[in-house]
Formats: sequence, structure tokens, C-alpha cells
Amino acid sequence: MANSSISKRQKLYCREETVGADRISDLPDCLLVHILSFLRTKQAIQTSRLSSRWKLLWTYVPKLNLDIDSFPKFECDKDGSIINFECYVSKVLAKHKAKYLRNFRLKYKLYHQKRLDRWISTFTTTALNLQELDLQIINCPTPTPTPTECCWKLPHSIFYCNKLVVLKIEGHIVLDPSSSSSFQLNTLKILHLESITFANRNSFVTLLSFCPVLEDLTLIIDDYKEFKFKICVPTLKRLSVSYINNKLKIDTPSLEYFDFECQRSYGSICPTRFQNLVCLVFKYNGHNLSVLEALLLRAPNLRVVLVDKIAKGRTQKLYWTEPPNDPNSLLSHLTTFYFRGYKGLKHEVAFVKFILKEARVLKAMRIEVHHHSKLKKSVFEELSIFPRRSSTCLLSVK
Amino acid sequence: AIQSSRFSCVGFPLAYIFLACKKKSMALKLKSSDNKIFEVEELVAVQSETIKSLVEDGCANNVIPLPNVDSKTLELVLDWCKNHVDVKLDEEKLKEYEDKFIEVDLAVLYDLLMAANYLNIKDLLNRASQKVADMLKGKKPEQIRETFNIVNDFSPEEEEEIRKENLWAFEE
Repeated sequence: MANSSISKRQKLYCREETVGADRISDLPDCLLVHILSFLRTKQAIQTSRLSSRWKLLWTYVPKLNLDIDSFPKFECDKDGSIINFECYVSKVLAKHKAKYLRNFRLKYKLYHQKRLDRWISTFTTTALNLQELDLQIINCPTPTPTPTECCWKLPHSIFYCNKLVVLKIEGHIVLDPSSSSSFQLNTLKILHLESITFANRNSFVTLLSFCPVLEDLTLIIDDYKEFKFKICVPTLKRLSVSYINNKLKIDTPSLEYFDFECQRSYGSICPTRFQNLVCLVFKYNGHNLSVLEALLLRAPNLRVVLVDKIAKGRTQKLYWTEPPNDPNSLLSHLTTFYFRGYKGLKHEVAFVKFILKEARVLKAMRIEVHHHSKLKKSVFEELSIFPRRSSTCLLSVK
Repeated sequence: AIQSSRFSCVGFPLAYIFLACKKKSMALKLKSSDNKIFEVEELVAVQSETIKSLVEDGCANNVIPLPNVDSKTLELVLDWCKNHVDVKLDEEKLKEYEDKFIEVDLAVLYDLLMAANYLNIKDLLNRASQKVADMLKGKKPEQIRETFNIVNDFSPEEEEEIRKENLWAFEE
């Protein structure tokens, strides 16, 4: 018995020498796990079947990505029983060595709220090194929609993951952090809130107060409730907001990048001064040029401005009113100006004229003409006769 | 149109001279496992976190021995480092270089992985790992075993058991 096993091994060894050795399995665990982290969770799990060396490797991969869309609706196992996504997630969570988990993404349709609660509590209590959490919850269509019941309340256990750096939540999720006060998101740098529901007027401010080092905030609101949002974060460097019917108060002195989009006319913004703002992306719907004006006045160090027209509505009645002259600071650092969706409407012409007149170090002005409007050439001719303060400005029309 | 602004006329040469002085500062000597000496600029070598910490601790005055990397691999690794010194390099060109660089046979790929791990060069480690992952992607276990010469040491019963308990992941 012993002899035969030795000779078998020798034979194997010889074969390896000639045909090619299994060098990949000789790589250290950390390298193999790192390689598997570049695969989707499902693919990483598949490698457990290769050999005993690979059997448990996937359970140490610090990333889990569980997406209901990548899962076939009904799948039968060998015995003919139906395996569903819930079963899959539960098994993965049970087998994974969660204490290594750093990055968790789950996209789920809200079929079983209790199940979802259980998963979250499973890994939030064991995955103590979790740095990135991305939850996307989609409402499943019900015959009689009742808005409050269709939403899933974000469990508070998430706020105790005190190594979180990135938190993204999206979809039918209710955020209500106000009922408890001892949360700590002391390392959170990136927060992304998209289409979620805030339980009350204070929920958002309360959440922000738990994030003392936040640098990057994305806030996308798409309900019509009229809330006041106060974004008061001294450490914030990047901000993206998109809203409909809200009043925004922004107090972020460190802000460097600002992406702004208001989808309706009645939203308003009340910014303070943006001394450090370098780049502004302004999604313009034909209603809120006054907001852009307010921003330009308050951001003396802007270098790059991108205006992007998003709405198709009637915009004829608008005017660009020139801000009062402030030759010392206004647009004094602007080097790049980009206007997308330009139609050559009166107020747009007035606005571009103003930029050319004021921006003294402008290097590039690019105008992308809306495809239904005037010809490129006529736009170029119209704009090129305007006086330019900067001697090095290159105008291009696309 | 000429695109020189007031700033670039004055600022550029000064910055250039400053950079040139800085770059000249020091050359390091690295010794591979097969005793070949490589002389490289410090800026190139310190992309390896391992070498960087040696330099910072003042242990880089003489030859730095790298007993885990042979000369063939070290030459490749240093080429990678040279091409990643200037971060402002055209992104497209850099990607082109990386794609070409990583087109190597498996034996070399393993050597690169081990060297990148030992020398702690993150971007090289990631690129090489990505390459292996791409070779694993979308393949059935049998195909993967064949590609990488992995010997299936499961008994038929064991394999069936794993297949059964993890079936939910084996379907495509």
C-alpha cells in the first residue's frame, strides 16, 4: 500500500516535470486570495472545486459581491429542489470567514425583510474589519403599494461598523439614525445616499454628525417632499447633489469639487463661501441660472466650470443678469469653461459673453451645441466677436 | 493657435531644473538572487515599498540584497518601475505598456507575482493578479485545471460532495 502510493507520487512528480508543474497552487495563500478578489464572488466560489488546495481559499477573499441580477430566477439542484438567491446568500455568509471581510456589496429585491435583517446582523457583528459597504435594495412590485411598508429600515448595527470608510445605500431604505445617539463612523470618508427615504427632518443632519472626517458626499433625492437639507461638514472636499424640491444650505469651507443638479425650478440653494472650490459641474435645467450666478460669486478660486444642460422644457423667458462688478476676485482663476447642450438662447449667449469678458486667465472655452439648434458655424461666429479679457483663450465649438 | 500662457513661460523651466536636481540625487545598487548587480535611480527603486522602507531606515548605502528575486525577473520588475515613475504619463500609453508587459507565459507571471509581493509593488501585483483572474474567468473547473496544471486530488466522493453543497455557485 505504502509502496504503491510512493510510486504514484513519483510518477506524478515526473509528469509534472515534463508536462509542467502546478506552480499556481504553490503560490502563498495571500497571493491566491488576492487573485480571487479580482473575480466575482460566484466565480471565486467555483474554484473551491479545483483541488483541496483551493477548497477554502474563497472564504478568505475580503470582498463579497452578491447581486440578485446575476442570479437566475429559479435554479434547481441535483435533487430537483429550487435554490433561490436567499439560500445562496445565507450559505455564502455562513461559510465565509467574515472577520477578513473588508468589502461587502449586496443588491437585493425586497422579498423577505426579516431575512435581510438577519444577513446584515450576521456580518455586521462578525465582520469587524469591514471598510466598504454597498447596499442596493429594490422594491419588489406589489399589487397595492403602501409606501411605508415597502421600505426597509436600515438596521442600526451598520453604524457600529467603526472601520467603515465607504458607505453607499440606495433604494427603498429608510434612514432613521436619530433614535440612538452613540453611533460612531469615525473613519467614514465617502457617503453615498441615493433615492433613499429619510424618516424625519433631522435624520440627515443626525447622520452627518456621526461622520467627523467625511470627505466625499453624494446626495440624490428623488421624492417631492419639501425638506430642508443642511450640509454642514468642515472636512468635505467633494460634493454631488441632485434634488427636486428641497432647500439646501451648504456650509463646507474645504470643498474642492462640486457637482450640482436641481431638477425643478423651485429648489433653492443657500451656499456660504467656497474659498477652496476648484471645479464646478453645474447641471443646468433652464431654471436655475441664478443659482449658478450665486455660486460663481462665492467661489473666487474656481479653475474649471462645466455647465451641462439637462432639461428640454421651455426656457425662453430666462435672463442672465450680470453680477455686480467685482474685478478682484470674480472668475480670476478660471482656465477651462465647458458648456454642453448650448442652444444659443438669449440668456445663454449673455452668460457666455460674460464669462469671456471677465475670465482673465481663461485658456479654453468649449461649447458643445445642442444637436437640434443652430449650426456650429453660426454659433462660433457669434461668440468669436465678443471681447475676451484673456489673451490666451482658445474658443472651440463642437 | 499658440497655447503658451504667462505662467508656463516662467514656471516651466524652473520646475524642470528643480526636478532634474532632485532626480540626480542618488543611485541604488540592487543584488539579485543570482548575484547580479543592478544600478537604478532611487526614484525608480522606491516604488517598491520594501526598498523604500530600507532607504528610509538608512540601510541602503551599500548593495541591497534581494535573495528572493532572480536577475531575469528583477530586470522585468525594474522596467515596470521605470515606466511608472512619472505618474503624469499619458494614461493611454501607460495602459498600452502594461498590457504588453503582462503578456508573458505562466512561469514568468508567477515569478512576477512573487517578486511584486516580496518587493511590495502594489500596481504590479494588482496587474499580475488581474491577469491570472482573467484566465480563471468563465472557465469550467476542468478547463482551469488544464490551463494551470492543477492536479485534482479529490476522491470522486469528495468532489461530488463539494459539488453538491456548493451547487448554487457552479451553475452559469
